[in-house]
Amino acid sequence: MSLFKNPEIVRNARIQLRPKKLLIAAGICAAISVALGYTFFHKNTHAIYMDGTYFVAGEALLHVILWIQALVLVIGGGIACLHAIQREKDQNTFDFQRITRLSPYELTLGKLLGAPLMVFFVFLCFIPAAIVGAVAGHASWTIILAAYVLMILGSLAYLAFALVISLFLRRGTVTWAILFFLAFVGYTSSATPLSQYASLSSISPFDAISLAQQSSWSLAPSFIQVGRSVIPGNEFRDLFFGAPVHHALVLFILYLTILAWFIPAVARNIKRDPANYELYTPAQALGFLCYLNFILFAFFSWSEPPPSLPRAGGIFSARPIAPLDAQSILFGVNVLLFFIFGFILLRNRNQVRRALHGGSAASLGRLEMWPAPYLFLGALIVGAAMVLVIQWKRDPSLEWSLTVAIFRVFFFAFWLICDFLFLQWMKIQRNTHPLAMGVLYLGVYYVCAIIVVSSLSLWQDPFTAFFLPTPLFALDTASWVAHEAVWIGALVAQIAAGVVFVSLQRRSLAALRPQASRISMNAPAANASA
Amino acid sequence: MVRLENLTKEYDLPPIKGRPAQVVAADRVNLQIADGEIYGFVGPNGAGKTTTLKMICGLLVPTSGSVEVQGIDVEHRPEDAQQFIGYLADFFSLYDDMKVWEYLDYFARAYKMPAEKIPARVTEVIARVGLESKRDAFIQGLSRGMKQRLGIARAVLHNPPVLVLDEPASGLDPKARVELKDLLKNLNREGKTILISSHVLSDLEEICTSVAIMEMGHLLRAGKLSSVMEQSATEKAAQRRIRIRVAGAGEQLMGWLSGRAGVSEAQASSKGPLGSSSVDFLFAGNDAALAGLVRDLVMAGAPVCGVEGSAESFEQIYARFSGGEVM
Ligand SMILES: Nc1ncnc2c1ncn2[C@@H]1O[C@H](COP(=O)(O)OP(=O)(O)OP(=O)(O)O)[C@@H](O)[C@H]1O
Ligand SMILES: [Mg+2]
Repeated sequence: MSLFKNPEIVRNARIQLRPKKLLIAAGICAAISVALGYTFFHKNTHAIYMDGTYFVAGEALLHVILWIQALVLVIGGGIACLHAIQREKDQNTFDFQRITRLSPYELTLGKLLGAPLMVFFVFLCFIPAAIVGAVAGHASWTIILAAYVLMILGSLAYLAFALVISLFLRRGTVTWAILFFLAFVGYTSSATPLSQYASLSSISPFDAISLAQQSSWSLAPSFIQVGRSVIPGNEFRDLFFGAPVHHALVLFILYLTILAWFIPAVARNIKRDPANYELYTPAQALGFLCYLNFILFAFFSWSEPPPSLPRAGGIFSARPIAPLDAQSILFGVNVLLFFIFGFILLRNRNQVRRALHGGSAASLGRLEMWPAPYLFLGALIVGAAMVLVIQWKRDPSLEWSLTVAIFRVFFFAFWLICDFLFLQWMKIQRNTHPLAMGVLYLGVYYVCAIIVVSSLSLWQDPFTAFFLPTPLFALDTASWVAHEAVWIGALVAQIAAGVVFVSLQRRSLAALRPQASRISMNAPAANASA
Repeated sequence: MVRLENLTKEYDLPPIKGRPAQVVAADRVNLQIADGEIYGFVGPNGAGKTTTLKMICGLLVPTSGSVEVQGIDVEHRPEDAQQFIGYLADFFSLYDDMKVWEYLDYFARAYKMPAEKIPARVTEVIARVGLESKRDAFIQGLSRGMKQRLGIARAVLHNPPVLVLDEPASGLDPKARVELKDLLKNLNREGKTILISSHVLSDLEEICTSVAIMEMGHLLRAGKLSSVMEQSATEKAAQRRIRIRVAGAGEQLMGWLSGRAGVSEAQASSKGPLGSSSVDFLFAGNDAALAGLVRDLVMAGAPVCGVEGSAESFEQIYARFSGGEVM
């Protein structure tokens, strides 16, 4: 079915693109374009008029217009998408959409492309100004075209993320979601979460502007010509397992894969009962974890940046990172990735209750341990991949111990399992915001533990591992040999705590069993059908 | 055909000490609704009508049990089943910034109706619910009842064989109520199965072929309207209110009446301006027993000039089955 026939897009077009609104929007965009053009081409003529062309003025106009377009697409579109599903639920119109014959993908694409239609129109309204700028600035057409492709794809990836958030929003939380989204855009536009350790430039659609500033597609360090002087251009390349690749290509593939993860996630839930939302199946969630880790490993900077340069992108040859340190850093990032993974796996009371009503004794056992098996599997897969990649990339002259590396994998796994058994137990408590309370308690525990440990300066003491995973990140061969028993003890303590949470969860599950809530009021005979 | 099998839904309740943690909004409901029926769901607030209807539409996943619509399991193949269902929720809103015809056009497309047939069908449905004059108006400007009509129009738009209407009469004026009843009867005549819930019991009594009486998630009674009424008559002796009018003071009958079996709550009214008065009482027994009572009265010399009785109405039956408050 063609996109233009998608009923949800047609509906949005009818609501948003009424002639009066279009005229106003086009008028505003034209006014801004003309004002900017005037500023660049006339006011400063003497400063930038060179070789009888409007070279610099055109370039400047193009970049400002690109920047405005990216801003409108990401922020405006993001806010529209954050509202797209949440507002339908808020206004009690969503059930009627769910019950139509729109397929989940039609509905998802209808929201993703339909909700920001006005934003797309404004984006188009700025194209003429961009063309003027590009012509005057002698821009390379392939680069400008690629910049637009990246900007649009990148914005769509962000919009899809906004749509995922919208799906899970509760009544009255959309303002917080917008703030979070703005912070997220700001954060990912300024630097990657790991700029220090990753040879990957920023990943936001605003990078399209940096691409437009490149003078060629060459992978060699580029330079920008400003009049007669030459300044070094932005680095626009990444290191993929150490090999240089063009950042535009990386972004292109990254955006496509992100869309391929997010759109199906929305589609598989959008027509479901909201009480039964499940972002991914456990197996898909595992796949998502592996995908994130693949990106992490591929762009991990296997050498430490020299202290003087904030981000070297790996081109300045530097001291390689010790293999055990590399593992620590990778695990550090994986704390975040596993928390994402774990939160996808957690189940709410409604889902647990359904499982209890329909389930056998064997599935009951699985419920008590949930989500430990998948976390364990995830930790094993990621841990094994990590050890293998480090074995392959490591500098043989630096310290490395397979025993320590493997112990870390297991400790990491059981520490996470313990936390998530606690969170799962909290999530099936009878509470208005059970998961939020669980996260709060967990946070308070860690903050208190960290305060005590740091005031006693026990960061690296193996005994600290009973309470906090921090010493694990500093674990080296010497410490392992000296305190092997303590380390194993700490691991056993994690397992024991996990067992405690399993038994707590068993008790909570008993309260949710079907018999517990049944008060038989009438004889079955009265229930007879007509 | 619609089949509910052991349909159960439990909700969590807000955590208040001393209150149960969950409420069973539908408790193992078994029901078979044959094609061509108008099936009424009756019950006090919170009985579980909306919950049950939503589960039938596949909008709510049951805690356990299953629903089949036209032989299709709603939970496992929702899209296939939903094409046969037209649904109207109890509380809903419409897209305020759309026009009436645009709204229906959107849903016609969403239900994948053939594009060339859509304009004619939209016009037809608008006429059927009497909104012709508002065809090009924005929904924002419609009154509550008009919105309700538009909602009904949307539910019947794609000509579904099963209609699920949750309190469709709310917000309608008396004339529109009558029109709705006619509309439903016509649709039923065309062969549609209609599931309807309502607090306006007399409305249901007039149009339903069958009813299900619900309370606290339980199905108290279900079946053909006539059999539900009969069932109640045989189960407990039905009590009905009888009024006997006498030419003269009614008080003299009181002593005599209160001694009779099956009579309770006798009350005499004072003498009216025309010199007659009446005695009201509850009588438990069938018509033969009542005839016997009247004969005995006349034989005893009472100046009986009229006997008025009412068969137990559906409302009374319902009120008796249900322990809850009817609102
Ligand atoms: N989303 C919900 N969360 C928790 N409890 C709910 C929810 N929806 C309904 N309930 C509870 O389920 C029970 C049945 O509610 P339902 O809305 O099905 O009743 P109803 O028969 O439609 O009532 P009414 O006549 O007021 O529309 C009630 O006790 C209600 O409190
Ligand atoms: Mg209701």
